[in-house]
Amino acid sequence: MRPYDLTGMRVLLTGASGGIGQATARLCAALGAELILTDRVMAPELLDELRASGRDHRFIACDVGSRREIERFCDAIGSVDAAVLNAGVFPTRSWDDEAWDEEFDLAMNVNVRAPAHFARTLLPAMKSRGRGRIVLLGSIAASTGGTYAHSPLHYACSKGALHTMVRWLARRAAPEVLVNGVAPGSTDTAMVATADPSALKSIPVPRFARPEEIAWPIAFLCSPGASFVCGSILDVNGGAYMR
Amino acid sequence: MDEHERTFTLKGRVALVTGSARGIGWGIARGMAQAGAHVVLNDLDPAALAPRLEELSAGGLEGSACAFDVTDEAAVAAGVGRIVAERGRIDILVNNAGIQKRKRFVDFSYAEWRAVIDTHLHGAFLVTRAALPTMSANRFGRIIMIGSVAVQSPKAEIPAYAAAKGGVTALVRALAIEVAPLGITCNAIAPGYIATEFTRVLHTDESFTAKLMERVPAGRWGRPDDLAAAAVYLACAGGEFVNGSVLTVDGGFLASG
Repeated sequence: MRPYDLTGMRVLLTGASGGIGQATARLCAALGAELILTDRVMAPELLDELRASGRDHRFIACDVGSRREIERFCDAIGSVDAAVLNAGVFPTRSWDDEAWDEEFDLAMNVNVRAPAHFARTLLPAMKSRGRGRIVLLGSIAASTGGTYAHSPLHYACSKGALHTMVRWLARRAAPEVLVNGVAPGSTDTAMVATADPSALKSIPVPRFARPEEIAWPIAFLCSPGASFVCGSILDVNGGAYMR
Repeated sequence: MDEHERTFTLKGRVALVTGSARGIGWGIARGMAQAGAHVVLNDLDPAALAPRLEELSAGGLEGSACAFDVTDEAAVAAGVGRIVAERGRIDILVNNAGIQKRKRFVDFSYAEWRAVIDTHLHGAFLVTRAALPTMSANRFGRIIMIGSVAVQSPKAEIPAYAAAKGGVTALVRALAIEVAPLGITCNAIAPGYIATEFTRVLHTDESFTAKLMERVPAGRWGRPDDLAAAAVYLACAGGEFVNGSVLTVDGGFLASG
């Protein structure tokens, strides 16, 4: 029995070029999935590396800021068995900054509105085929308000909204489609380049998560092994926040 | 060796699952054996373990039996000592043993109340305390407690069970902090409504089931097997950074409350 096997599954992954995105792409491909990757720009060499496995993975660019563009994209890619909605932005301005207002909208548009449109567009076909998985990427910031004193408000708010979206979607998408989330703590990617490692001293496992450590629960939630997991958010934070 | 075997394997691990003769414990034990672990089955009654061991070996899986009462301090120490002597160590501990008593709070005798708290909470204390030395000596350990959705959303007539599971869930967090520097993680799986002997009175009741399903988006009772992959995930290399977490496996019960 191979409960985490993704063989035969077509998996959509947004934000595929970032740290967690690339780790997720590599893991899901290695577990047998055929991937449709999207991001603003393609990570160089990722696709070639993935295609070495022999499966026909594709990269298709998508502007996640537009409802029409997301609809067109989803029409173009055909049916998928799982969607990992990982694309997100981490804006860092303070609310005293005039430009914060624009960044607030950006955080909400990319981190909340875009996954809602992906889910809205993909769900009917998944439901009518009788199966599907959606995994949303939350954050420890949804629970804590942010790990650091300077953690940005708009980012934390957007991830709080996303956790709510997991629960909202879960009961409407089931039983055919299971919707869940993964909430990473500080993860070693470009996104936390501004994080202060000394703040980690106080957490039980005092280090950043490696991107693969976030990819593993994502793959689990896409897999047959998670057949009764619905509306859950898996915390992967080394004990930095326990709820 | 492919990615599945590399990341999600328990090969070479020794896993003790308490209360694993039936139900959720058996589902998790079998799943861990299928992932390559040597599983040590446990129950009060050695006779209940014999047929399960036969099932494991018929499937080409590794296991042994160690019967003891998780609420008996001396028996726990002796049982865990025997496992460590025979298998060299314990890498994974699933604290699953427990009993249920369904009645209103006001009708509980103190003895009944204590019996429920004893198996779930004090049993977890005793077995975990006995297993910690071998885990910390090896700088590796995975402790998995079985919580419950009843901690947040109990039905009537299970006050002792809900209180015990609340205690177990708090223990997960307290212990996670203490054992993290030792290379040990401590997490919980919170099952929703799983059809087992434990819940027979409920899942054989059609009107209860009909009402329950209004709150279970997945639209069915859970099966012990539904918890196996979650437990293997927490125990395998992939779960290394998960600590102090509660992984809810409930078909959406809590999300639709």
